[in-house]
Parts: sequence; C-alpha cells; structure tokens
Amino acid sequence: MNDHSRTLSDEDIIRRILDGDVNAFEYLLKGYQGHVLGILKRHIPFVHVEETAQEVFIRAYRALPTLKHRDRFKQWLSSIAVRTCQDFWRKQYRSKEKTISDLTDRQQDWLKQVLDEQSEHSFNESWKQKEAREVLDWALYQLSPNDRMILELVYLEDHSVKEAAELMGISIANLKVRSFRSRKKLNKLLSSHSTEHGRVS
Amino acid sequence: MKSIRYEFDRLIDVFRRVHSEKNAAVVDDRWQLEVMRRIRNIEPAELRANFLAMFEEFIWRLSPVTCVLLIALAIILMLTDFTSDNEIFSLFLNNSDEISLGEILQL
Repeated sequence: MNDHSRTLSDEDIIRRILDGDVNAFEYLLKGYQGHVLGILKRHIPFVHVEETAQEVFIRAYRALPTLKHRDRFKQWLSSIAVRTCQDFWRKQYRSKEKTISDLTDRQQDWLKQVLDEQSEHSFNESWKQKEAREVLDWALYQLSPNDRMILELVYLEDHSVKEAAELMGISIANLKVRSFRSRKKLNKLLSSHSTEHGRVS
Repeated sequence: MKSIRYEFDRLIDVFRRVHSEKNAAVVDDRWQLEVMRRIRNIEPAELRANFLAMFEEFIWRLSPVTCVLLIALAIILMLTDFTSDNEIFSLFLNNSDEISLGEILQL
C-alpha cells in the first residue's frame, strides 16, 4: 500500500474514492494523519486528540465530493481540522457548566512576575513553569471558541492573516477585525488579573 | 516605565513558547483501523447526498442565466398577441351553449 501511495497523487486517490473505492481513503489517512494530529494537539486537550482526529477524517470523507481543488487537499483538510476544533470547544462550552474560577494566588504571582521581570534570563525561564500553561489555558477558556481559535492561529502560531482566514473559512477583513477584538479581550482579561498591571490598553 | 503593549507582547511571547511545547500526539494502527471501519460503514447514500449539495451549489451559479431567460421570456410574451386568446375565452363565456370547449380546443 505504501508503494502505491507514493506513486498516486492526492487527485488520483480522491478520484478513486469517488469512483467507489472506499479503501483508497487509507492512503489519505496514512499520508495526512500526522498533519492533522499536529493541528489538533495545539488546539484541544491531549486526551481528546485521537477521537477528534477520527472525526476530522470522517468529515473529510463525507465532504470529499464538494472538494473543488483536489490539488489543495492538504489545505482543505487543515481547515476541516481547525473547524472541528472549534466545534469541539463549542460542545465543551455547552455540555460543561462553565466554571469561571479565578486565577489562584500562585498563578497571579506568576503573571505579575512575568510582567515585572527585568532580567532576560528569568524571563526566558518563565515559560517553563507549569503556571504558564495554567494561565494560558485559563485565559483561553474565558474566550469564545472563535476568539480562542483566532488568537491561537494568529498570535500563538504565527499564521499569516490570509492563512488563518482560509483555515477558519472567513474573509481576511473579518479575521483582522476579530483578531484585533480577541487580542483586546485577552489583554483586558490578563491585565485585570495582574494587580499592579490593571491598566487596559 | 515599560509600555502596556510591551508587557502584553512579552506575555504573548511566553504563551507562544508554551503553546508550541504541547505534547506530540501519536496514534497506533488500531486507530487507523477504527477510522477505516467507520468510513466503510458510511452509506454510499450519504456520499451521494453530498453530491446533491454540490449540485445545489452549481444551481445557484446558474441563477443569473435563469434571470436573463425569464426576462427574455417576459418580453416575448409581452410582444405576443394575446387578443385572440382573450376573444376566444370571452366568446366561450358568452356563448357557452353554442360553442363547446372541444370546439375551442379544436378537438
């Protein structure tokens, strides 16, 4: 099967699937599972990655007939993965009672320390502390699934505005506006939790 | 005094590093088998339904052509002489005893 997948292009594989050869989907699965897992692990909790990755491939299979540019399968699959992550968070927000617990003293101290840090060395070490992960998770959880995804794509992963807009299936202008707003929300959220840095830009 | 933007950018920089350090996810063969099992269980009809969705998408693209055709048809109808049809209809209404529908339709 691997020899086959090396010689077949994505377009050939997709054509075979649409002609009724369901097993040909395995080529796409093997070829892109690493890529999809790479996207999911950054956006959803680790324990949900496997299950959500299955969902991504099943959605892709179902939507395959609507794929217009078969040579851009990877980008198309990426956007499905991103939107599946958004749906994951929507479900999470709906199903769970959203407990807006505040930052603990320890986490607030970390936040204050990062903002106050004068030494570059100490600053470079601060991200390794577990509070960094906790504060980031807390802050992202306070935002809507859309704001969360935009922040992650644009500010935490350095995607260009065009790439992020494509991944989210919205216009560039829309993404620019939303990214500005979500950044502002995050800023407000964090600055209000840092006692000495309660100013909002 | 550091600017607020500078402070926030520092924080974003820290978060960026944290974000990139998330654990790598690896799946085994069982995972692949499970996905393929679910894929095989999808009815072809579900796939065909997506063809329908695609068809609908193309139908909307034809809407300008449909509009042009409708306008052209309306113009043709406007230019057509309706008088004779109207006359036959009124004749039928006024003299229903003498003229049957079969005669009007030339049956």
